[in-house]
Amino acid sequence: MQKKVIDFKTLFFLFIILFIMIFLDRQGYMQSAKGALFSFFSPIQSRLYSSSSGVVNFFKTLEDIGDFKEENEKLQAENIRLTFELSKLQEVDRENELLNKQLKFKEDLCGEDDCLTFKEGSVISRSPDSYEKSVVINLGSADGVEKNSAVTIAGGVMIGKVSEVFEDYSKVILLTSPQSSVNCLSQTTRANGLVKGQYGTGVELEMIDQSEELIKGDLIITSGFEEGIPGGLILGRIAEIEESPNVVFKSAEIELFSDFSRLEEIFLVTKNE
Amino acid sequence: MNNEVNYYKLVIILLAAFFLQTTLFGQLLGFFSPNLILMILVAGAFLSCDSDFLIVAFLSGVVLDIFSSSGFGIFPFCFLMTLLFVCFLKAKFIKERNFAKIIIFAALAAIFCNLLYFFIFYFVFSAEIGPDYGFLLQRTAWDLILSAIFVHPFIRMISK
Repeated sequence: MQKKVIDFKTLFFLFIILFIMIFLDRQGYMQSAKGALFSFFSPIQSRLYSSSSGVVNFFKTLEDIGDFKEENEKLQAENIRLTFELSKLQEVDRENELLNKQLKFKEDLCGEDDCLTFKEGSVISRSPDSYEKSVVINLGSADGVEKNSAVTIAGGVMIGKVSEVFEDYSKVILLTSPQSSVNCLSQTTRANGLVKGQYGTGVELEMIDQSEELIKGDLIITSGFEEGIPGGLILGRIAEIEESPNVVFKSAEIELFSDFSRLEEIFLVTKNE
Repeated sequence: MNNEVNYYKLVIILLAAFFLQTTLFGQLLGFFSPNLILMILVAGAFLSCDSDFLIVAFLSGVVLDIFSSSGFGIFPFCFLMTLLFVCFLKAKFIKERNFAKIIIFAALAAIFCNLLYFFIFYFVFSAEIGPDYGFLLQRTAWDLILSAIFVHPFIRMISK
């Protein structure tokens, strides 16, 4: 075994470069360099990702055979579609003519001053580690993407929001990431809170005032209070309510509607003034 | 086993690992997706701790950072610190080729890198949700097992 001890001069030099790079990144000067690297790697990643989706689906289907999961998923997808329809109808009752104009997915949603458009894109890679959960999509500032825009899958189910935008690509932090936080409402009781990702695959609705009511099974939708995220996008339903008289806020476990292991086609919500 | 790194092989294997890690493994294995790049770098550190190797490790971290949302600088920092740890262990305790020691030190390096990454990530990004030690434990145990299995084959693959 070679006995060469680490080269401290180079190590010191690399740490200096690293701190300079962190500083430049904080100031926003690294965007073009990052964009260039994205452009270099993304075409290969994009192809590999779509090819590997086939492999992944193959293995998942094998898993599904045993317990009729495939059929169950079809029913779940149908359920999500119907839930979304129901969600829309309930919002129409509660809200205003904005949601009257909401017809079906991929159609423009128009309010008094602007329209929301669902732009189709696809996932080209996933984050390289399991602590933070993010994906890279093939839509960027050239497609009108802005930071904090909502990202959904078919059916209007929100999966995350844009964290960083490059010319042709964007990074999306998924709802399951510990970095993610989205302002949401419980649809029936209108209890307002934050849906936050956890370290595992779970997601929790937090910061619910003790005076607010939560109902198990109630739909969780975006509140529309956050810039870039329209109200009414569905995330999931309340699976378990956690309350105690000793804590200031209530919380609830959320069962998400989207399958984060099979993200391929996504829709980005953009505004057309 | 030759004790020098073949840099052509190393770069090709790192690139392949990067593409696998960000596409197939991420989709297929999710939480259980291995950090292949870390394992390859740890394997390399048992062969060489010279400046060329440190630069390769640094650049690997930079590329991973660009494709993750953890904030710029975490991966290169963790990789350099882990290599420093491995090189220190190697200089102190490995006087000759020893399969068992390499496996043990690779596992220790995986634990070291995981702890470092986890706490930086926690303090910088998610202090408000609190550290999930159960998750850390599972992840560390998994990386420990994978490192013990894969580090020796990786050493063979990247040595001259």
